[in-house]
Amino acid sequence: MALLSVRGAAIPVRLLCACVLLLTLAPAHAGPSEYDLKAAFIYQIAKFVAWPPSNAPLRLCVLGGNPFGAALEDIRGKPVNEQKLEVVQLNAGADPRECNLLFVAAPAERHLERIVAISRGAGMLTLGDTEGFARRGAMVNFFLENGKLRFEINLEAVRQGGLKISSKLLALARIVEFQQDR
Amino acid sequence: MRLFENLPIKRKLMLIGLVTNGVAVILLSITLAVGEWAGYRSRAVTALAVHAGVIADNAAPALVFSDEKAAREVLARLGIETSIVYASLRNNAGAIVTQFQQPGRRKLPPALPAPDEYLFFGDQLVYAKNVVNAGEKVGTLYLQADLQEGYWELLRKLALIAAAMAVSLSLAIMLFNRFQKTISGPIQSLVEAMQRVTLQNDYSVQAAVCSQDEFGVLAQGFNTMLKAIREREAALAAYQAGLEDAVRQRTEELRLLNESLELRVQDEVAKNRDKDHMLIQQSRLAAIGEMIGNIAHQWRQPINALTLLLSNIKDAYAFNELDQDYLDKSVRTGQTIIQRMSTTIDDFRNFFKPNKEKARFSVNEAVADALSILEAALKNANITVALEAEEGVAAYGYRNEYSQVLLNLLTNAKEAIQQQKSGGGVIHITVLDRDGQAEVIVEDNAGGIPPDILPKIFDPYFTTKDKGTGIGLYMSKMIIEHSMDGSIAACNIEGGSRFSVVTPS
Repeated sequence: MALLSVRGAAIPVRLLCACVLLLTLAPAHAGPSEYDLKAAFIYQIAKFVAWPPSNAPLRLCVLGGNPFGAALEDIRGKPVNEQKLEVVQLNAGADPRECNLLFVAAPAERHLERIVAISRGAGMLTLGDTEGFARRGAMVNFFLENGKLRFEINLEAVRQGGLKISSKLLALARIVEFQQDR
Repeated sequence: MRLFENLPIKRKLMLIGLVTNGVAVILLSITLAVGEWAGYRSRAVTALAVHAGVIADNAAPALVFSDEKAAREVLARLGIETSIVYASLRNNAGAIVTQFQQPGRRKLPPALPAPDEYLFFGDQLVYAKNVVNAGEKVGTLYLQADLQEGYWELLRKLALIAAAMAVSLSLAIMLFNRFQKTISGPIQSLVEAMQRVTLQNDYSVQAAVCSQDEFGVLAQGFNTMLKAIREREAALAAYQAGLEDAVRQRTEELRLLNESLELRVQDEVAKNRDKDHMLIQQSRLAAIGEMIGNIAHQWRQPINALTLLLSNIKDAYAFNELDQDYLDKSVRTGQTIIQRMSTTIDDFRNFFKPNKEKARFSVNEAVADALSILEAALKNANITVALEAEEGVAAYGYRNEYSQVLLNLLTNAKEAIQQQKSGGGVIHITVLDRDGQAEVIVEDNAGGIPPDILPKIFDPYFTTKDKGTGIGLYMSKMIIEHSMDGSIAACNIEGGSRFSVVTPS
């Protein structure tokens, strides 16, 4: 009987179906673009991170232009646990300390080392979609494998940043370490 | 049910024990089996649901990030759970993201249950579970378990239960069989005792039941009853013997009484006969008296004539007129007179001589006979006789007796007239044939019979005369009605009485 009652809790979940539907269908169809998927992944990954408790919105900053285009609008204002997702475009040289998530696009590659340094102990999740970013200190880095979007995680960077990522997410990720020649 | 009613109590008890215990055991078995079955299914559903929960939880991120490989790895962990034969993960569009099939098992669900529900297909159980990530449904997990193993286990358990029930039932029956003897045993001995009583009439039987329960009470009551019957029977036998004695005694008494009654009846009959004899004697004496009176009347005139004749002979001799002629003539006259007197006696004797056989006779002659006897007496009493007779009227019977009846009636009329009148008495005699029967009516003018004595005049010993015997009319009635099958009746007419005698002719 207790099993059936779960069904009641499932109903509000359905409100979110539409977007997830789009996301999960993405690889099979031409509809969503690569960055649509990435935006959705970012939103989902945010859910697997243990954020320090706060009433303020969860701020996602994008550095180095906007490769997502309108896709960011799809996740703007969506709930992540108790918080709402806020999307902010950062200019080069701006202080990223107010960000909870910081996506470093390929054009901002030269700022990566500085950002990695800032992120230590800052409780800020750094993300990227450029080959080698994770090994250089970005916590989460997207890559394509057999045409499918995947991500790698630098666990050491996450630990240094003072964050905790759910093991469920880690199970899906490719775990990388810092480059030894650094 | 009738068949059951006619069974011996032993069998009945056995059957009752078998049926009640059997029903209880079977019901218990069914309850246990159903409980086990339902419990097993419930447990199977719960176990599968737990599995589904764990797997759905593990598979949620894979679905979220469309990581089919990760999803397959999650499902592959089911390989060690051999009871789960099939699993599939579907995304929210319903498309299968990945599926898992236990090697060697090919059964696939024919239909899918709604999320968080289950379906049974024979020995297959399918459970659906929503895959939720951070409160968001990301897909559905379907798990199919093969319950065959579990069902076999269940069956083994049920067989064990059935065996245990069978053993306990036979044990219960054995115990019942032993205990029922405490009920059927006393009943059997009671029945045997009863049979001995009814078949052999042996009331000395004692039912051998020593228990203190209802059967003991029943047997005690039975024994008491038998004792009572025995005593009653003895008392009855004694009473019967006494009764037979009493009957014999009473019979003897009755016989004696009967004998004495017979004696008394004989006595009475003899007395009656004596009385009748006396009556007849009296009647005869009366008749003789009458006859003598009548003879006296008849003879008075010839005696006077003879006296006169003798006186004349004496006178003739005195006056010397007595010659041969005179004497002869006188002797002849005397002889004639004497002859006539002798005839009178003969007439009387004939009249009173009873007839021996019935015969047809002339009624007129009988009337004439009676009148001739009374002729002198009637003349002496100055009574006129008016005779009105049809010719040739006849009657059948005893003529002399009939004449005596008429004589009796005439004598009564004469005496009545003599009592009432000094002269002018008339006796009217009518002889007629009435429808083939002879009727003689004698009427007088002596004033009639008083109405209060009229009904009694034919009774014996009833008389109104000073020297009467009360026999005349009684004898007349006897002669006419009993000897001659006729009738005699009396009634009053104006100025006198009428007697009517009717006889068959």
